[in-house]
Parts: sequence; structure tokens; C-alpha cells
Amino acid sequence: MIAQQVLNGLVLGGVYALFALGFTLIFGIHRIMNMAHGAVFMSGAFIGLFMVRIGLPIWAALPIAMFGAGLISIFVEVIAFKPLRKLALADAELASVISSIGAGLIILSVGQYVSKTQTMRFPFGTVPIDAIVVLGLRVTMLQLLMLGVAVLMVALLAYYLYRTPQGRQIRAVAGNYRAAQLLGVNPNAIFYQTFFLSGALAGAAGVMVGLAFNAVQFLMGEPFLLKAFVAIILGGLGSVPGALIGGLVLGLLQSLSGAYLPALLVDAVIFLLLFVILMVRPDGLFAQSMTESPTKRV
Amino acid sequence: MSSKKKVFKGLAMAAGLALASQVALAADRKIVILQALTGGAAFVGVPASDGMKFAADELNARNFLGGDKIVYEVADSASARPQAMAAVTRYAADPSVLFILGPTTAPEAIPSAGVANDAKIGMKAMTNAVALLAAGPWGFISAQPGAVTMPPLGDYALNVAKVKACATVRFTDNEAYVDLERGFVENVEKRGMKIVERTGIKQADSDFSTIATRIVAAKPDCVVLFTLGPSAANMAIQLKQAGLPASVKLLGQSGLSSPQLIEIGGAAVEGLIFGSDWMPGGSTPAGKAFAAAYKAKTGKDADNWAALGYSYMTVVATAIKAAGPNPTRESIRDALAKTKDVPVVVGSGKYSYVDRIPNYGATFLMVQGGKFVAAPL
Amino acid sequence: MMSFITPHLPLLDLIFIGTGYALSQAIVFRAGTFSVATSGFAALGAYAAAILTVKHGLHPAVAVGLGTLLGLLCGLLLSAPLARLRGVYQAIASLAFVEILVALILFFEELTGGPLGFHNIPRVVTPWILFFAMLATMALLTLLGQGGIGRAFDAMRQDPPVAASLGVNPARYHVLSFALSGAIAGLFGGLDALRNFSLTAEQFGFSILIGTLSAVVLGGRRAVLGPLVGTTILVLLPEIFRPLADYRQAVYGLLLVVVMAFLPFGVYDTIVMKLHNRRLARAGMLAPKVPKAMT
Repeated sequence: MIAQQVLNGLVLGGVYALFALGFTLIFGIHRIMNMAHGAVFMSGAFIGLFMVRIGLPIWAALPIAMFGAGLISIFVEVIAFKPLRKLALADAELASVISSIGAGLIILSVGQYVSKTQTMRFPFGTVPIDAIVVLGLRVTMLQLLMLGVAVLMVALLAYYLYRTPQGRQIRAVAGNYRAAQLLGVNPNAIFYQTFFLSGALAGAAGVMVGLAFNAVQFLMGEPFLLKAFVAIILGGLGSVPGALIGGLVLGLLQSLSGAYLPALLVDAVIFLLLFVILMVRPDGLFAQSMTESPTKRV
Repeated sequence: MSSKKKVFKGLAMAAGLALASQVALAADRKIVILQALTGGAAFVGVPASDGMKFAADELNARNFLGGDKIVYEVADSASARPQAMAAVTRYAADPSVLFILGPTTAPEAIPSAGVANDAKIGMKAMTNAVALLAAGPWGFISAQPGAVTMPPLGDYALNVAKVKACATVRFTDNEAYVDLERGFVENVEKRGMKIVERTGIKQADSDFSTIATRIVAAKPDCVVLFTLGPSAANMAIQLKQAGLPASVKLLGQSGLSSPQLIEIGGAAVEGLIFGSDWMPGGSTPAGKAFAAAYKAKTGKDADNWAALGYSYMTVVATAIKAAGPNPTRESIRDALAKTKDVPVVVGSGKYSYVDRIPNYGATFLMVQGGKFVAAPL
Repeated sequence: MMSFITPHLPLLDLIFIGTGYALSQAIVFRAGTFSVATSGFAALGAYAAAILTVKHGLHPAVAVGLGTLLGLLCGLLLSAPLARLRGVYQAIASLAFVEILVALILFFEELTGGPLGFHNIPRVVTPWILFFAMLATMALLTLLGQGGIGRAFDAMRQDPPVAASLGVNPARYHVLSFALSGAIAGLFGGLDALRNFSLTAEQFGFSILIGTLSAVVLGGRRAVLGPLVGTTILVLLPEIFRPLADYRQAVYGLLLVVVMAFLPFGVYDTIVMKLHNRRLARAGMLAPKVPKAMT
């Protein structure tokens, strides 16, 4: 059983990674906790579902869902974070957390209204349900898809941030907002870009979760947001590879403790891990700021 | 007495009676429907209150209370304890309110029962949590607790399905299902069944791969699901994906009784058998009539909660009727406690309180060919 | 008069208890710590008071007192690990603490009732008791705030190195702020338990954490009246918008967004600020047109 649970954990971890990635992008660049991230994730799932319901195939619905979630994320930035940018950082921190909670609630209530609190599912057969057996383990097409999408997204994001001029600009802003402004970077454009990217990633995660676990519901983001903190801290707040590793480790931990411990202790274990990490190595595994590229190219 | 006096007396009595009945006509009997219309429990509260309203309208249309009418006001508890308690306090202070139908879930209802007992107003909550009764004589539960429903499920498992080693799945964050699972396990372990795994999930969870793998590894010959329909459907799918053999029987309880079980579960829930309050579409003539009328009026299929709500309103109305021409909060409370064999559309069709514990039986349903049918007994 | 108040008593309960929790939250903010552990301390105080009263027959006042003590001790314990972190990391660590506690409460069913909850706690606390507890807490905090402790907190929050150079021992005041926060939360948790008949672990989880945080930020985290104002707004809002039932959550969210956009320092603090500035302007003491941030 243990090998199968490891596989389960890696797949779950891939999803956590996608979710954490969007969150850590915003935090790493803007030092902001976006508490509406779970709601954006949910709206990605909803948009993907509705696209499939009106007849689009999944490979078309996914990008549309990502795009839509990206736009909703920009909406969050405009109403929750932008008005507070004129304040000094220390004062803005707390206020923007509350503001983003509010934005999240608004999006949640739209989701509740649209779905009438019911759980929805993707139509049967949206993704083929065959499984293959590799080395004695059952791997379904869906699991492969999820892992694949997670890895692809991480790779694309890393490429964008470290190998393109736009990515350079984003990292410049992360390092020093004023300096970047002086150098002619338009910070607003940067904000829109990063929030869009963050939203798109969350949207992709939402569609994956909705597909894989058969449940699209307006509260689906809640459990992920809390757990995502663990992934992000473990990997290092603001680190792209960190979010991936952190997500995978979290998925493994949840799977293995779920397999061997009483159900009610799983949460205690996960949050205890979070607390311990914060005591021992709060910067996480990949303690670096966004201004440094892993390959030493700026 | 002279005959003139007799006639006069007779006339006076007749006039008096006529006058009295005129005055007694068209009294409003006000009931508050306090349910979770928003928030996490809205999927129960909204259809339940719809069923209650439908019942009240129907009862009024056929003059169930003679000339009196049931007047209802609908209030939202938002699935939240403070709102529920505040609503009970507010309505208890209104002397025209005779009874409160609600709240929906145990965390809302148990403390609300404390308030109801303080304020001396009768309250019949949707939940099956027996702890509510300890607050005092004014609080009632509506659904059957595990101690009542689980022995028949145990009977079914042992004698009909003939299973020997079961795994259970329960919601850990919903006390009703914790209670049901515990009741089942206690009952069947005494009778020699092995429980090979007891797993827990949360209501908002959707990834069950870990639990499914764990259950499959334990090699049960049956899996019993103590959750709601959508989660059970999902669990069934992921169990099959994790390699659960087709010979393993799937069992459950009335929380599964919703069209979503089949919509979401598809082929994975074929053959699933559960003890149910309500068979979608109705299993008795009264049930079928209700289902048809409800669909005609609201355009929606009556689900488990609507059918229960409809039945509970009928029970309360019956108590009001039994309380006589001038029902008070106290007399309604007493009449309700004595409820016996009120015709309802759920379970076996008759609702009674035995020491304030609800008893209305259950029917066993099976998923076959994408539909709910009566299970083989 | 009573017939007007009686139906609305539960709202007063919510305001008094909610303000207690918000005050507990506000103290640590004032001392410069971004901790959200209040609901955890409250859970400890609540369950302690309930268990001691119901299962061990202790007098309710003693039970609540012990609950307060438990909260205080836990605050002391938590202050050390949290001192090593800064800003958002403190928030996440304190969030982890709350989640661990909730999970443990659920797990130790024998003691706490677990997922089924702890029920039928006698209602011995009256609204008057709650009112006086709230009043006493506010008075205590006002006194402390105006004295040396308040100045020390402000110094620590604004500029820790300067504070240290002025002889403020940040460690000592940090611990003190946590002890106070824990004690107050434990007290109101115990009162909550003995007022509202039953307890569930979830009621001390993420949503009340957010609610308390919102109350403090909405009302203002500097003035002692800020938490009261914030809590009152958040309690009265669902009642005022009861007709809009379906959209209540959206309205709540909109309120948070709008108030933060226009009054980021909180409703009450902003009012105090504006009055303060007006007084200074009238006395000719304001420098020309420099936006004055509230310190």
C-alpha cells in the first residue's frame, strides 16, 4: 500500500504546488498575502466546468478557465490591494489582508448563488478514466494529467520569470519598488501581470481538482488555502521551485499520515509540521528572494 | 321550566354558539420556519423550508385546522449558532408565535434548545442529536438518532447482505454522521462483524485517494458510507479507481438519499443499498402524491430534505390540532410529545415520539439502472 | 423598555464577548506582533471552564478563573517561539497554533466531546456579567495604555531599535502583551461557554479568527474603543441586512473592502485622527499638507 500512497501523495502534492505557486508569486513580489486566492481557485473550477457543459473539450476549457481566473484575480487586485498601496508597507499589510478576505467573500457568494450551494461535477468522460499499471501501481490518466500540468506550469513560470524581459521587470519590482519605478518600469503593469499569472495558476489548479476529485463546490477553496500555507513556508515564501517542492512534500505528508493515522490527527500533524518549520528554518528550503535566478543569470 | 323559557334558553344558546364560532373562526396559528437558508447547511435548510411551506399551504387549503390557518414566517439562521439563538430569542418574545420549526444542524440547534427552554417556546429541530433533549422539555429533535436507525442497517448487513468484514467512512466534522457511524459499529461488533477500517473525511474534502487506497488494502467485503450523497458518490468512484473489487457491497444511510448520488456517482454507485427516509418519487401512495404535487408547484424534484420538512410540518400541525381550540405554547408542546402514528411521506409512513425520540422507520433503497428502487429484502 | 431589549439580548451578548476577543487581539497588534492566536486562547478558556463546571462540579466563577489562568499560561508559552519570527511569519505560526489546538480538541473526544461537541453547559453568565467584564477589560487596557506599558508597546511597534536604546526591554513587554492577550481571551472564552449552552471545536477555528481580526481592523487597533466599534458594526450588520439574506455574505465582504479602502486605520481610529488633526490645525500646529499617518 505504501507505494500507492506515495503516488497519491505526489499527485495531490502537484495540485498543492500549483495552488501554492500562485500565492507565493504574489507574496514574493509584492509581500502581500492574498486571502482571496482560494476563491479565485474556485472560480477557475467553475468557469472550466461551465465551458465543458456548453460543449467545449477539456483542452479548450482549461485555458479559458485560466484566463477567466486571471481576470478575476486582477479584479481582486484592483478592489482590495490597489487602494491601499498609497500607505506605508507596515500599515498596509494588515489592512490588505482584511481587504482581500472581503474580496474573497464577494467572489464566494457569487459562486454560492450561481451553484445554489450544490456540488457539481464534470460530465462523466471529460477525461478518459483508463488506468495503466506501472510496476504494480495503478496510475490513472487523470493522475498523469495532473502531474503533467503541475510540472508544465512550474516550468513555464520559471521560464517567464527568469528568461524574459517582462520577467526581469517583475523581479526588479520585487527587489525594490522605487528603484524599479525610477528605471522606468510601470509598476501598475507589473501588478496586473503578476496577479493575472497568479490567478491563471490558481484557475488551472481549480480545474484539475474539479476534474480529479469530482467535486466543484463554492467552498472548495477553503481546505486548500490553509494547507497551502504549509507548502509555501516549507518551500520558502516567494520561491518558485520552493512552492513545487513544498507542495509535493505536503501532499506526501498528508497522504501518508492519512494512511496510517486516525483521521482526526492528520490536520494536527500537518500544522505541527508548519509550526516546527517556522521555529527551525522559517525561510524554508529555498530561502531566496525573487531577484536571484537559480542559474545566476539576472 | 316553562316552555317559553326553554325556547328562549335554546335560542340564547344557539345564538351564543354561533357567536362563539364566529369569534373562533379564522384564528392565525403562527409558526416560524427557522432554517439555514445560507451558509454551509443551506443544502438542507433551503429544501426543508420549501417542504415545510408547501405542507403548510396544502394543509390550509384543505382546512386541516378547521377554520384556523397556519401562518408561517421564514427566518434564516445562516448555519450559524449566534444567528439561530438570536432568532429563537427574538421570536420567543413575540407572543403571537406558537412554535419554531428548526434550526437545521446540531451545533445551531442544541444551544438554541437552551434558549427555547429559557423562553418557554416549543422548538423542533431538523437534527437527530439526542443531546438536545437534555436542555429541557421544550426542545424536540426530528430525525431518528443512530440508536434507532442503525440496528436495522446492521440487520440488513448481517442477514441480507451477509457481509462479515466492513470498512466505514464518516464525516468527522458533522456530528450527525459521527453518531450514526458509532451506532452502527457498536451494534454490529456486538453481533460478531469485524470492522476492518474506520476512516474519516471532512465535508469539504474531495480528494479521497488516500482513504480509498487504505480501505482497499484492508480487504473488506463491504464499505458503509456515513456521509452525504455527493461525497459518497465521489468516494465510490475513487474506491473503484483504487481497485475495490466489484463483489464488495456498498451500504449507507439516509444522508445518501439525493438525486446527486446517482448524478455524480454514475456506474460506481450501482448496487449501493441504504436505509432511507425518503425514496425519490415516493414509495407509498401518499409519498407519490406529494412528489407529484411538489414537482407541479415548485418545478423541482422533492429531495430527502423537502420530504422531511413536509413531514415535520405535518407533525407540528397535528399537534396544534390536538391541542384543542385555544392552543398555547404549552399545550402544543405537550401534544407534540404525545405524537403517535401521524401519517407522513418518509420512512414507513407513520411518525411517533417515544420518550421524545422520533420513530418513523426506514425503507431500504438500492441504486439500479441509474434509478432508486426498493432493495431486495 | 425590557420588551424592546429582550429580543435583542443575543446581539448584546455577541457584542460584549466579541469585543473581549477583539481586545485580546488588539493588544498584541499594539505591541507590534502580528499574531492571531486569540481564538486558540479562547478555546482553552472555554473548554476549561465548561469541563470544570460540568464534569467536576467546580463553582463557575472558579472555573472561569482557571480558564483565564490557562489562557494566560498559554500566552506566555507562545510568546517565546513567536518572538523569533517577524511579520507575516508570526501570523502563520499563530494560525498553525490555532489549527493544531482545534484538531487536538476534536481528537480527545473523551475529554471534550470531540466532533459531537460539549453540550448542556448551565447558563450562569448574564448579560450584565458580560458587560462588566468588557468594561473592566477596557478600563484596564486604557490605564495600561496611558502609562509606561502603553508607551513601551508603541515604541516597540514603531521602531524596535530605538525602543531598545531607550531602555525598553522588548522581550519583557512582548511576553507581557501575550500574557494579557491570553488572559483576556481565556476569560471571555470561559464566559462564552457559560453563557451559550454548548461548545464545538470549529467555533474557535478559522472563521472566528477572521471575524476577530476584521473587528479590530475595522474599528481601529490603536484606541481601546476601536475593537468595540468594529465588533458592533460586524454584529449589527447581519441584522440590518436580514432582508438581503442571500446576499449577506457579499455585503459583508463589500463592507470589508470598502472600509479598508477609505478608512484603512479603522473607523474609530480615523475619527479620532481627524478630530486630533482638526484640533492641531486650529491651534496652528499642523505642518502644511503632509499626510499624517496614524502612529
